[in-house]
Amino acid sequence: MSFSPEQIIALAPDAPSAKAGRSLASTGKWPARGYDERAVWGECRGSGKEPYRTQIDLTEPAFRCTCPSRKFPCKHALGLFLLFATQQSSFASGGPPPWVVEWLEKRDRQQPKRGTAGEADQAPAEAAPPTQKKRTTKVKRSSERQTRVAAGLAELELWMRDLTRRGLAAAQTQPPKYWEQMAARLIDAQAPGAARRVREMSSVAASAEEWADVMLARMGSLFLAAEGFKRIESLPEPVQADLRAYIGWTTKEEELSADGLVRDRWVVTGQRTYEEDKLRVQRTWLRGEESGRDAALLDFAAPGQALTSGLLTGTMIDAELVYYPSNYPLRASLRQRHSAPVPRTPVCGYASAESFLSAYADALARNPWIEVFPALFDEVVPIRRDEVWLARDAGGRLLPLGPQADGGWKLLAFGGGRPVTLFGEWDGRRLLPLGVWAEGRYARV
Amino acid sequence: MVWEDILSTAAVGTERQEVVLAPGDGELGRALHRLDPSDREGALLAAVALAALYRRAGFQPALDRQPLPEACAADEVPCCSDEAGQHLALMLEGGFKEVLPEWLVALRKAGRRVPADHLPALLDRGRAEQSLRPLIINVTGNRGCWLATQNDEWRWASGGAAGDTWETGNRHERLFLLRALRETDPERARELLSSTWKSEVARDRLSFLEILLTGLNPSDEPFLSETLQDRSAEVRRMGGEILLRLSSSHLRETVSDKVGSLFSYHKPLLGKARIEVSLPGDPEKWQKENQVQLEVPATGAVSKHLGRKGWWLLHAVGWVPPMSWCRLWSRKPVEVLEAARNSEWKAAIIAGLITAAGRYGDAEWVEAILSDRQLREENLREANANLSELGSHLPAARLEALILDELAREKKGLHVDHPALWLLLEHRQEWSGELSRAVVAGIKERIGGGRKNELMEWQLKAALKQFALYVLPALADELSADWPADADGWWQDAVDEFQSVLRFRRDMLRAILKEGNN
Repeated sequence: MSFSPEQIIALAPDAPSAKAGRSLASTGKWPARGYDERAVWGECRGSGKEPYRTQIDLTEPAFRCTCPSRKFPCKHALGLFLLFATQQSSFASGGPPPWVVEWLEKRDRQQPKRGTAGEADQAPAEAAPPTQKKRTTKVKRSSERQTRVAAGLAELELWMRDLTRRGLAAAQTQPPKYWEQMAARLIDAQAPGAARRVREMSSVAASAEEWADVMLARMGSLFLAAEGFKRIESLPEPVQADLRAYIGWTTKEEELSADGLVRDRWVVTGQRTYEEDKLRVQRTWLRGEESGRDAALLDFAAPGQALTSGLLTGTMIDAELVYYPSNYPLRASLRQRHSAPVPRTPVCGYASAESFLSAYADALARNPWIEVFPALFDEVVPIRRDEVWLARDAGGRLLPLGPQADGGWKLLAFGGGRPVTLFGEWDGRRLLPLGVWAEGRYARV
Repeated sequence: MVWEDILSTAAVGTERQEVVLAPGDGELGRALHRLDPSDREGALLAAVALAALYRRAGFQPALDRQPLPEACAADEVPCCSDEAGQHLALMLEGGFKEVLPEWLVALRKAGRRVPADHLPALLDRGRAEQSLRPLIINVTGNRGCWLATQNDEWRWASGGAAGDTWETGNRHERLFLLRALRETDPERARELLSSTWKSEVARDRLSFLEILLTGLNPSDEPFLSETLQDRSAEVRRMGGEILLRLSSSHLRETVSDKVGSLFSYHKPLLGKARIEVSLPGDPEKWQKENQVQLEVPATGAVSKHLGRKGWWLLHAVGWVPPMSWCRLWSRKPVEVLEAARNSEWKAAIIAGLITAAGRYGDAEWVEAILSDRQLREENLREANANLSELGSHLPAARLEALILDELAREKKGLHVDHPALWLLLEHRQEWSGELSRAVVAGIKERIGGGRKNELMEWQLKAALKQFALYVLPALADELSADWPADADGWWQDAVDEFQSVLRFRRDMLRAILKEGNN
């Protein structure tokens, strides 16, 4: 098994970490280094007296280092992993030292508790039936929120009606306060998802290109949510879930039903980190080789805190997922891993732009609030025409690629004018590429 | 178009414009039809919700009417290993970036190329650093050429058609093209240049002309001779300079002859040999009469020291290939130097000989001059100015022998005034193990010595960083070991950098030499 440096670098929390990791990927920095089937470990000379002890559990991968860095994985873990990926032969193979054994054992003990393995079996037993009192409290709390959200959305509808009456052109010149105040009221109304979308409209108004189109489409979604919420009781349960998720009333991970476990060989097709409501969010996309289903795993971290899904893009793992309730389930949570990751070029994507777009239309019909949609294409040719980046399918259909010039050149270089396997997020108008495979190699875009 | 109708109403607002929906027969039309138009805002917002979804779900990708652009031809040359690719990535991110040229050369030698994912960043580096371009195009393969054709800023790497670029390219592209072509097809390059020569501006004529130094051959003479009549003095001087380098040129022969006739070697029975000069009264007139079509640069500050005639003499001696004195008088370079030292025009003649040794890259003369310790001690201003550049004309082994000799002579450790130091700074090729060890030992001794004058030591500190690029990487471990710690840590950063650059060079060269793993 060997990982490509690209996959490892993709784990770096930021660009300086990636660079520091690369410069630590040198045998000279690691006087002691070893590996076995499960783990890689090494001692790195640092500025202190004692060397740092760095270890990687390859089954996930998971990292641990004795350095004081707050970044995760730290540069030592990245450096060691890179070194292992490029110069495995320079590592001693054999039994791990006690400090590695200890850590791995601890991990094994913790695994079930952390809900990564075996939780599916234990969950029903552990979760004792809620007492009558607890249940009542919960129901009460839920109905309080229901009232508050309803009031918030009613206010939002009035606000949008007012905006519509006066026109988008007038809204465009409003100060940021105009949007902020509405967003703040929605936060108070416990509808943070709606609040975020209102706040984002402020920057849409300030952007030049097609702002009216984008703004109008956003208002459409919000209006649909406000209207839908008025009669939420009459909607089928999965649609209720989608509406709540859009408003920001999320299902807790613990509340997920274990009935919907899906085991598959999941290819980690792409990963994107972005900021949302002062949190760093990492979205990791998976696609099942067997089922052809997509899944999105979300990880959250406060700024400056570690963020890792423990998944390597461009690899495949055999694992079980549980989906969040939805009329078109995408968001999921990783439950149990059955294998370590192996590099993989996926062969379970769409054959053409049309087959993708029909899947997309189907998804929208079931959940109209879908904002980004995963798109894995088996064979498209990245091209640049009149300074526009495009992906061309075998039938000659053109999909515009997201506006990011540097990534475009990498894509073009990687393809060399021939078909590649491409993964990206489709936002309804453009594909934002995240990963590409060609000639058995993987690159992040 | 439903969406455009909605958009136009939404833009100005419903209070000013009524919602006019022109629903079609489709499902969207039927849905829109059900909206209550009396609730203007509600109807518009609902229409927005419906139409926006309809639009997203109904996205129609354009059908490409053009054929697919031509794909890149397959590369025969294999990619470098992932490990080597990581070293490149690190350098492209700004780490060890001064080592990049060595990496590019080594990769070329190993018969490998740069993997596709690193090409855009590497081509961008070449865009910013023109000196790297010739090295870069050697390792980018077909994929690199193919990619470069699609980005105007990378056109230099596209291997495009010469004629077009020459006629339509910008200055940098044309310079690059001419330089590359001159290496592979010097005649064609000169023809291209001569085809547009008359319409080029002086600045370009000068730069283009200089490129003819590469691939210089006898068939260039007619073209070069014409440049001696150029409107621009700088172009005339450059033309003369190049003609002098052409061993068969008429100009070189004339100059050697005529200038040679002004000097004579005298060896009295008693006393020291000396060179005597019969200076023409009016050098300009003399040049004209003798068809010495060369220009003396305008006199600057330096010439005050030599005087007008000395300044002219310096250049005249500089025009003559130094070996011709040896032939003329049957003397060795050291003997000619010694006789020059006893001449009335000592400063001018010696400076001229040094200029000539550098101009003609005459290794024997360069060695004689560099071994002449007295020369440096005499502190002849005009001579010293040209001295340091001479090292590069000497084969590495001979330069090293010279430096080792200097190092052996003075064993107090390497210091700023050490005669070996400036030669070392000129030695910009991989050093031998012996030299690497000797220099590192010298610097360690200096650091261990304690006493220091920071102002002076700065130079040595900077030199150490440069040396890291040339010491023998195979000795990385040995050369990185046992550095003395100076009391206040003043040397620490330079030593750290030396060690890490050296180790990086060793690792990166090893990675390239190893059989690729993919």
